[in-house]
Amino acid sequence: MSFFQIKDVTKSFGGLQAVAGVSFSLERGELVGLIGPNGSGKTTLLNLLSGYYPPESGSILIEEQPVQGLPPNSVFHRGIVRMFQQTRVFSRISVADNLLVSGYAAGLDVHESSGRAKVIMEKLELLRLADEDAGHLSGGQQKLLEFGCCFIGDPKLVLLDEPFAAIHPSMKEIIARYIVERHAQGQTFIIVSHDIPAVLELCPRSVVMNAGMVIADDPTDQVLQDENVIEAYLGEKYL
Amino acid sequence: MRGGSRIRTVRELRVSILFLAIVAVLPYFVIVPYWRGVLIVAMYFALVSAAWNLLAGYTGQFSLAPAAFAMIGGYGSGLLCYHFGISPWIGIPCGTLAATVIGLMLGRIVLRLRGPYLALTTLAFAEIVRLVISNEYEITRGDLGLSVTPLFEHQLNYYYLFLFLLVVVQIGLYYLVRSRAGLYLQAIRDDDLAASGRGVNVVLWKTVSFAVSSGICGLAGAFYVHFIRLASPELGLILQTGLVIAMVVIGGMGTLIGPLIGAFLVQLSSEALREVGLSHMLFFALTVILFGRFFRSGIWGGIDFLRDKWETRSESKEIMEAGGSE
Repeated sequence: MSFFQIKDVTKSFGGLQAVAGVSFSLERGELVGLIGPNGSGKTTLLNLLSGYYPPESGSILIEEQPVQGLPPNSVFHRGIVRMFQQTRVFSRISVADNLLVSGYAAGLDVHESSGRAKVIMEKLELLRLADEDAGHLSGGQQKLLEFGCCFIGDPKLVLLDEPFAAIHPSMKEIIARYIVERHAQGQTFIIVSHDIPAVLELCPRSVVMNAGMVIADDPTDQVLQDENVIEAYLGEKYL
Repeated sequence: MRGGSRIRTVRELRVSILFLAIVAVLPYFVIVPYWRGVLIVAMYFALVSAAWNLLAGYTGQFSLAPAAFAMIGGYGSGLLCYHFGISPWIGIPCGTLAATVIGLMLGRIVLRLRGPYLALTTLAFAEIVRLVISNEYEITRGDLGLSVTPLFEHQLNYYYLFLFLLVVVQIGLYYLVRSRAGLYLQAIRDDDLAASGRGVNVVLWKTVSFAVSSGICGLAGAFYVHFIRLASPELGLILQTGLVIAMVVIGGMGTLIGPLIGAFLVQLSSEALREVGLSHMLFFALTVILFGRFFRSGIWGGIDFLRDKWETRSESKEIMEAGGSE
């Protein structure tokens, strides 16, 4: 039995089938890229996996435990955390407190939460901003902060939606370095990104979606040579 | 703003204590009973404002029912005293409990509502409660109100009782805001969807905030009716809620000290403007519009801004001087 399984999950909005029978699975410690054109259903799938939408049918299991239909906070407690495409931080509390919210919610005590928050802030070069209100940070710094919040409570699976979008290359480098470090420690990831070079560099495997369906699920270098993927998403330059 | 939310909260508590210390010595200078009464009413409003600020300023739940919960607390105690001759010292906790439980129930009902929908639902609730109390003459004596037994003979006792309540509530709110529960509430205020995704039980904490806020309003109302010796539906008028909102917005929403500053400022200036009649409300309405448009962080936010600016300027000056001496 796989560590994380998505079985025939569907979701529609009115007449639009956003996710149409998606199935794939992950083993513990895998780092998987989820790519596809705009409107292919990637973010909707992340919303389903993180509890923001209930699926119409199908099941989502982590360590054989179903999580479909649970509210986001319960999904978090089952070990699935998520970073949004549009950055979401708690703007009127400090950077350190943003991290502590996740730490406390994960059941860590004050000492443990503070210690881990400090380590994450150091790694993400946010320590000098620890006491600043998160709303005063730049867009890139807010993205780093939201990214850091995913890791404070020992998650089983981290879902990252466009972690490299609209940030300075130096911050992209910090995020990529931290993903590599956590992956080496056994962290499991699904990364949604349009940054194909980054996906190729970081993700040994990629799942490609188009029109709500999975059209390819293979090692990333093979996926990028797949004719269906080139036609649906990458375009002629990859031929 | 510099210093972070937690450091600001510590500063706000210190200023609150200083503010209340000044209030504690005021009776030595204010010897006219009328003005002492005005100060007691200001403390009552400060309690209700602090409670509403917990809900609106720290949790982002814009309720229009704080006056209704104060009325529920007041009638909870008043009815027990009037009909059963029960001591106010038992009636007051009962009234507070009634407001807390009803707040808990209303909190559960409205927790999925936001913005104008939440405001309208709580407004409807407040009006229903007030109309029921106004019309159930056989139980509540309707608009005539209930005469209730006083707690003390001397006004000064009420003065220090309300001051004590205010100190306890301010310190209690300080610890709540600084606790993990306080962080959850502020996270919900800033982005409840993100808070839920980061493991915060939004449903639970919104309900808790509603119940605690209602309980404090009920406590204030329960003591207040024994001070004025009358439980009347006027306690729950929407005008009273409007005053509470004006106090918090003018003082500084989402700060510990804002409701204190706002309550005293609005209540004292309201009394000073009483001679011009009800049109003094026009003055507060305009003030709230001006603050809402130009000074959204209220008086305390303005003070904090100037203090930050002053500190930044001093630091720059020190750096320049150090550079020049090298």
